Amino acid sequence: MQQLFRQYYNRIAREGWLKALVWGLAVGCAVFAVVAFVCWAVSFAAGVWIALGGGIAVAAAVTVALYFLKYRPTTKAIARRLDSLGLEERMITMAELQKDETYIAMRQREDAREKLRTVAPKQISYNVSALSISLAGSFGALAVAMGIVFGLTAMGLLPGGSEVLTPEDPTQFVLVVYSDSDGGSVSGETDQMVAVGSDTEPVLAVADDGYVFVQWSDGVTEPSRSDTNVQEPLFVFAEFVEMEEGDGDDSDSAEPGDDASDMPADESESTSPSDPTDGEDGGNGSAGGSANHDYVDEGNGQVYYQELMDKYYELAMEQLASGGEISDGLRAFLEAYFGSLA
Amino acid sequence: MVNEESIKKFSEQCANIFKQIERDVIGQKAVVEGTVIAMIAGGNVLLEGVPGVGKTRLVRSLGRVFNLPFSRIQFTPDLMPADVTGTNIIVKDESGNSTFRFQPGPIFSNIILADEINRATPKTQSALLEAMQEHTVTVMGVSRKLNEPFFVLATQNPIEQDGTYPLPEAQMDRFMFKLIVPNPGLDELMQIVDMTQKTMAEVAEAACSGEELLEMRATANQIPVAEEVMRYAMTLCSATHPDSECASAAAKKYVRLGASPRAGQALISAAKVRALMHGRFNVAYSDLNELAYPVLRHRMKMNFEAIAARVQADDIIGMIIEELSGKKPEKAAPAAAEPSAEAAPAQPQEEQADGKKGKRKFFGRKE
Repeated sequence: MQQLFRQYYNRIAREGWLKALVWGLAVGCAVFAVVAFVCWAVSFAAGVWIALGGGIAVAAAVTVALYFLKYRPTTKAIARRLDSLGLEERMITMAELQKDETYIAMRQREDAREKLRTVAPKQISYNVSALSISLAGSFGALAVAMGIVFGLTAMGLLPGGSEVLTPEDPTQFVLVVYSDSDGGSVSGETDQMVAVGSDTEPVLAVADDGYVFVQWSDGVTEPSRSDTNVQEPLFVFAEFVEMEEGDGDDSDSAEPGDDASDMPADESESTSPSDPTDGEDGGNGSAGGSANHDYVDEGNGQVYYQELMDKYYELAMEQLASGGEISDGLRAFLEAYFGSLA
Repeated sequence: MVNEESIKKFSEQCANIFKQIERDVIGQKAVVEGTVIAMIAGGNVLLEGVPGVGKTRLVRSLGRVFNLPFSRIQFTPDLMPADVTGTNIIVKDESGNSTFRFQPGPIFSNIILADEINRATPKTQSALLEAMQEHTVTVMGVSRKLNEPFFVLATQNPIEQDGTYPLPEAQMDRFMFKLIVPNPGLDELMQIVDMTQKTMAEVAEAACSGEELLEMRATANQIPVAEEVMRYAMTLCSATHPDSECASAAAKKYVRLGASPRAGQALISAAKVRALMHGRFNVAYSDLNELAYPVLRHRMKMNFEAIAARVQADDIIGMIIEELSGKKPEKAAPAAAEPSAEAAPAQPQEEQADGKKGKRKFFGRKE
C-alpha cells in the first residue's frame, strides 16, 4: 500500500510542509511583532535581534511540530486525499481492506488500483487554507512594520517607544506682566507668556520728564530687566518718583544704573536734549552737567539726558578700566545708546 | 460466496432487468433504478405520484421481469385486514364435519402492488406491518411465512387527499424507499403515446428469477463499506434528529421527528447495491447522498414551521448533505441507472472538480 501511494506521498508531504510553514510563519511573525513592540516600547535597541531570533525559533518549532503532529500524511490521509479527486472512496476502502483476502476485497483493490492509474500526482494541487495565508500575511506585515519602526528609531527619525508611549508633561506657561505706573512707562513686551523655566524678553522702565525710576515693585533696581528661569506668574510694576528741584545733587551719590531710567523716553524726539548734537550747542548740557552734576534745568525743569548719559558712560568706562564689572542691564542700556562699549 | 461469476452475473442481470423494464416503461429512469435497487436490497417501495404517470405499470412490469407471482390489492376505505391477509373459513370435509381452513389473502405472493394504499383505513393498512417487516402473517394466532423474496410496492396519490388516511409512521418506516414519480418530459410523453397507440400490451420478459434476485442481494451484501463512509451514513441519518448530538441546523429548525435506525440499515443496504450497480466494489459518499432522499424523505416528521414555510423533506435533506459534505448537492432524484457494472466506469477527471469544491466535514471524521 505504501509503495502504491509513494509517488503521491511526496507531493502530499510537500503540501504538509507548506501548510505547516505557513502556520509557522504566522506564529513566528506574531512573536517577532510582539517582542519587537515590547522592546521598542521600553527603548531596548538590541531587542530587535532578540525578537528576530525568537520569531525564527518559534516559526521553526511550530512548523516542525505541526508537520509531525498534524500534516504528515498517513496512509489513510493519502487515501482520503486521492478519493477527493473523484475516486469515490475506493482508496480509503482499499486502505481499510488491505489485509482482507476475500474475493470481494481483492476485486475492490484491483478496481482501486486501476482507477488510481488515472490520477497523476500533479493532479493533487497544493491546498493551503486561506485563513492560514491571511494570518501569515497579516502578522508578516505587522512584523515588517515593527522592523521598519525599529530601524527608523535607530536612525533617529522616529522617537523611541518610551517617548511615544510615555510622553513628558506638556510645557506649562506662566504670565509675566511688567506694568508701569505714574511717572513712566515700560518699553518692550509688557505682557509675556513664557514657558516655565525659561527667560523673559528684556523690558525697560522709562521715566517721563520730571520723573525718575526708583525700582520695580519686587525690589529690582535695574530699570532694564529680563527675568530668568521663571517658575511662576509674575506681576511687577515700575515705580517712579517725581523729581524735585535739587534732586540733581542727589544723583551724585546714586548708582549709575539707578538713574538709567532717565534716558529719553523716545529716541525719535530729535529735539530732545538726548540728541548727542544737542550737547554741542547752547552749553545747557555742560552748564547743568559735568560741573556740578546738575542734569535738570532748575528754571524749566528740563532734564539734560545727554549729560546724564555721558556721566553714566564715564562711570562705566572707569569701572571697566579699573578691572571691575558692570551689570548686564547697565551694559545693555549704555550700548543701546552709545554703541558697543570699548 | 462471492466470486467472479457472481459479480459478472450481477452485472448482466442488472443490465437485463433495466433493458426489459425499458420495454414497458418509458423514461422514469430514476424511479426505475430506485425501485430495482430497493428490490435487490430487499426493501419495500412507496411510489408517490399523480394518476397516470406509470406507477402501476412499473410495478406490473417488475413482476414480469422478476418472474415472480404478483398480487394487486386495490386499497379502498371498506377494505378489511382479512381481505389482505386472508382468513379462516369453515369448510366441510368429506365426512361432513365443519373445520376451519385458512384461505390465504392476496398478500401471499412475492410482489404485492398495494394500489392507493392511503385510501384504506389505518386498521387495514396495519395489516401489512408484520408482512412488510417480518415477512410473516399471523391470523388467528397462527403465523405463516410469506414467500421469498417478498416485496410490497405501494402507490399513493399526493393530490386527492379527501377520504384518505395518511400512512402511520410505523408503516412509513417499513418502506425502504419513497420514490416520487414525476410527470414525464415532452420526449418521453411522445414516446409513451406513440408506444401505446400501437399496443397497450406489456411486453417485458422475465430477466431473472426470485432465486437469482436473492443471489444478487447476497452478492451486494458483500460490498465493503469503509468505516468513514459508514460513519458518514449514520451521521446523515442521525442529523435528521433535532435532538441528536449530530443534529443539523436544518433539522433543529424544521424537523419534529427524525429518521429511525431502519433508515441507516436501508441506506447502507441500498448503497451497496447501487455501488455494485455502478461498477464499484465499495460504497461511496455519492451513493449515500443520492440515496438519502428516497430513504429519508418519508421518515422525517416536519414541524409546524416547516409546514408554514412550505419546506419539504427533500429541501431539508439537501441542507443536511450540504452541511455535512460542505458542498451543495445535486438534484434530489437519483441519477439514471447505468445498465451494468462494466459499462459504468467512474469518471475521476470530471468529478475531480467537484471534489475540489468542498471539503467533507461530517461529524466524527478522523484525521
